[in-house]
Amino acid sequence: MRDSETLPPEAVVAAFDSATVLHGGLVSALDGRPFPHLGNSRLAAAATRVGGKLPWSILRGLYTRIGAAEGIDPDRLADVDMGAVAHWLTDSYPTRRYPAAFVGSSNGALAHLAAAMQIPWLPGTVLVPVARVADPARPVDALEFGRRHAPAFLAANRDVSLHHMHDQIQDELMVARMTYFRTKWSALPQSYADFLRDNLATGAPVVLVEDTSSWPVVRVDERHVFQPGAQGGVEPEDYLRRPHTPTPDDDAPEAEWGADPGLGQSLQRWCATHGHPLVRLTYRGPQAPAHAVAAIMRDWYRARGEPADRLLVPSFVLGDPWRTLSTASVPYWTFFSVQPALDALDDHLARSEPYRDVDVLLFQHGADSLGIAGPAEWEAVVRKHGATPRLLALDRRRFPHDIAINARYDQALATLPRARHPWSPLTVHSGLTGLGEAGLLRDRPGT
Amino acid sequence: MIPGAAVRGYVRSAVERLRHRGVEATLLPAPGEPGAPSDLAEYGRELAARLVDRGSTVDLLVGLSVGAQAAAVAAATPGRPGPPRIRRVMLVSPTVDPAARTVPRLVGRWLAGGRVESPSLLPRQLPDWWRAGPGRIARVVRSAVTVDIERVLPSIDVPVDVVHAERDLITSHAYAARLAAAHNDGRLVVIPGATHSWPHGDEDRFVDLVRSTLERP
Repeated sequence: MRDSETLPPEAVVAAFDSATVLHGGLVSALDGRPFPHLGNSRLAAAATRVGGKLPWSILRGLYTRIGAAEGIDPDRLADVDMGAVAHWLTDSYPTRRYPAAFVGSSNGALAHLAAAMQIPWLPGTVLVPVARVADPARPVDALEFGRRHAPAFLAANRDVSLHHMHDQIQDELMVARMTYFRTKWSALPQSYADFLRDNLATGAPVVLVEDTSSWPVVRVDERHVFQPGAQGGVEPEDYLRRPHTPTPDDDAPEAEWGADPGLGQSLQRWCATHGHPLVRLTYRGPQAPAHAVAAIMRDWYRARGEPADRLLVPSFVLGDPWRTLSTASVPYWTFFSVQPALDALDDHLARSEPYRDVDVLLFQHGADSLGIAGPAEWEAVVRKHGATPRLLALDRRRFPHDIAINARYDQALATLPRARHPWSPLTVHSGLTGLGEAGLLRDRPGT
Repeated sequence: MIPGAAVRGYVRSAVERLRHRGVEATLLPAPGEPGAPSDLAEYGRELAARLVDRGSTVDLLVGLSVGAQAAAVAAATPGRPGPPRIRRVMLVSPTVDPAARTVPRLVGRWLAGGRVESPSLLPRQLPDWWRAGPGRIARVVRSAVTVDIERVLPSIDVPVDVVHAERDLITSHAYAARLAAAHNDGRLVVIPGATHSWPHGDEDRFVDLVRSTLERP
């Protein structure tokens, strides 16, 4: 970490970032606490609930400006210390001897599995939002902005790579007032190494979470790429054929979910020298582990006598791992409220024993974007498989603008029936065995 | 079973239910009740010595709340060479979370915890507290903030189950999980919906847990 001129970590990373919020939810679960209003304060939640009643024509501007207020001044990018961010991420976990740890790609399904195993996850990517007022329909301008401002950031942070992302379809509102510096560690940060050394049980495995998804990019520098578009309801080609979009000249790990191979290599070296086996959990695309995680957790609930006939469908950051455990709900996480995620849920329901109830949370990204999956579509898929759907906490008339759901979902989850039977954390052996049987582990210790 | 601070009436029904279901169970005096040590370390050492003197063996020693501290000390106290006198320890709602390890903080958490307890609890506890008197209760509380289970754990060479009531406002989940993880044969057990005074009012789940624990290798 550097001197006091650096920006505080909590001011550097976005409060709406998948990594930050999923990490916050897992921290709460390791503390045995619910995770209300996405980790925001009660005051902010109350304001969200009140503001959420405004007409969208007014709320849209407020939402954009409040969200954009998180963007840091581009002239202060040299004051961003990613080492301090790594320290902040590790420091929030409760101190104990953990039987394993996840390190790497963000994934909501795996965050739920980590909560069940009561193990931490150290993110490989975080979002640094940078203030910028611009026309969302001109990605090429965002690219030039990055060329100008990224060098100071990269010079100050030698162990990261920058995946500058511009998604004018799903992040239409935000990219008008900020730009997304998705930042990946390309080597194990010192704070992560210290945390693993001090908090892992002897011989505990370290699970490298590698989402191998990639995306066409413009390579600006060895450690800097520009990604037009992002995973969601639209394919890369749909972004690339839009006007004012730069032509890619390379492929790179997808900005939000993809894994930087450098982090994996660095972690492998650390494990070899510290007596911890490395397990590689490898899959393509954020939706991939959700079916296996749901199956593992359903078996775990059933083994202790819970009915496990209620499926809970968290969406992007909208979810609560602790409430999921304390209600013995089977989690099937979806990465966004988009058609590919809906198709994946359909597939999960087709491959699983029937559920009685399916409670769906739908993250509201505020844009009626291409590829979006609406409330009626989610309900139809659930009904198709004989279960009763409920759209928790959603005011469906406002979809996809019901921003206040971020401050209401906790109340809805609190009404679910509690688990009945005493439970112990899912053993790491059971969790890894289930992932291995699903073909998600590249290799395992002792096998 | 070692009950909580100066109270044992609230767990009598749990002990009776254990006996009814074929478990030979004994409810020991509460730390701080007349005739029993108020000092938790002394309580634990005396219990260990008594077991040695009588040649008794306990399959499972259950400590509740501050009783968990006494149980941990008893299990960690060296006996004579040979098989352990205590074969397994169950620490239910173990005190004191390091974040509350001062008398004012502990009392503050106890008061906060009372808000989520069953209304039937207080009438069970008041007569016991009346008999113990404020001086003895105060001595138990002062002792509780000085006996750190995490320091005792490494000396316990039998399995340890740490039982955490999900709605316990006195002992945090993080502390219970940390205790379980600190012992090389530790296990965390979470009781959904339960409060610090568990198993008061929830005897069946308690008996099921004890019986399944006794069946573990």
